[in-house]
Amino acid sequence: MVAIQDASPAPMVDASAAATPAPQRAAGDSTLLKSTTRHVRLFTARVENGDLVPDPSQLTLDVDPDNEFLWEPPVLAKVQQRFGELVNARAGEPLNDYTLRRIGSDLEGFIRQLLQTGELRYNPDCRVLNYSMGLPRTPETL
Amino acid sequence: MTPPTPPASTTAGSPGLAEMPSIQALKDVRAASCGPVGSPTVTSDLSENVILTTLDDIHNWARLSSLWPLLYGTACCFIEFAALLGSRFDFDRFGLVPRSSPRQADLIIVAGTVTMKMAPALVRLYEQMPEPKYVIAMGACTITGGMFSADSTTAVRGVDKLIPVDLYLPGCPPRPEAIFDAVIKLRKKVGNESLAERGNLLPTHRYCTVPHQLVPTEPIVNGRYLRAETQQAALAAAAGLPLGALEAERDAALNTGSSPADANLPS
Repeated sequence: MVAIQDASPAPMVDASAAATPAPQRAAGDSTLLKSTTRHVRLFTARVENGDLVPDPSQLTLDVDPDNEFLWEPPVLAKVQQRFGELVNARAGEPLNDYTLRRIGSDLEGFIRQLLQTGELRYNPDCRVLNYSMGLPRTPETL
Repeated sequence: MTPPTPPASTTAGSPGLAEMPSIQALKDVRAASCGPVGSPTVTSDLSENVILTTLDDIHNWARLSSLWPLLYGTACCFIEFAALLGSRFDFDRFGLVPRSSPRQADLIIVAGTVTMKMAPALVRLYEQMPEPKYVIAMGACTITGGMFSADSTTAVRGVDKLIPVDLYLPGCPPRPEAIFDAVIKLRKKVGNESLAERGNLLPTHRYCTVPHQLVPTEPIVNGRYLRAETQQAALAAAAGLPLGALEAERDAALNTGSSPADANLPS
């Protein structure tokens, strides 16, 4: 179980602002931006000892935590490499929920492609068999 | 078996009752033909008083009899779910106690449309629930996106794209009886589980962290409008009015004989 450490929300009235000049905070410092779908979980955070720590300068990808697919290391590396490419391709765009959702959505599409080309397989020991990316098919039934 | 002949004393009455057997004779007939049994006793046999079961079964029985759903609803499906809470449908008799905290719930009935904006909150709620946990996708919107599946830019096409779904409950929206049916089917599923398979439920995290060149921006919605001068002025104006001022004003208007339309305005 991973505890997600949310930073405390900004107080409504900042009492210390009068005494000391308010520190120049980076935007997105107080909130953890995320785009979470079943197979792709994106956070503006880094991982420390298995915990997510909010970090506006880094993006963390978590792939399929409830094991709907069987992930073999080469396939997982492909997804992570694709993630790096997508993040680099969006350099200069604003860091907000929308951009993260675009990245996450593209990654889900990529995972679906991997599934349809047969590189990725459904895990029969998953807690529930939802086949959430389409029913499994064999070449004969196509 | 030949019926016993009636005693002679009963034939002394009216001619119509000549063939009528006496009460005693009827009892004799019954006693001779029915094979009477004694009154039933409470059994004291050991086999009837000791229930043999497995630990799995009794554990599952306890769990399926106390499925606590999370009070979660985003649209009209929750209206039907709320009807279930009331006395007419009374889902407490299934051991369902609605919980307002995901930490105490082991069932989430996803009632209503889920949008991409709601998705992180829903996933977070699901992750906060303790294992073992169950999900019922209630209604067309949560199963496929429903009427939003054609052209919506934000609706999630099926909540199984976000969290694992144990049971699909179709309908738009489903009747409370249908929710009962789903809960009963879920109870059967819970009853089939085994403690030994509990290890399959653990999540596997495959983290990958990369630096990025995205530009940090201030969020559009930050709650600052509540502190805006115009908002403060509007709130202060309302706060300055004493309680009952509007009613007093209306009464005064009625007493002075102004038109009813004007009198109704303050209400």
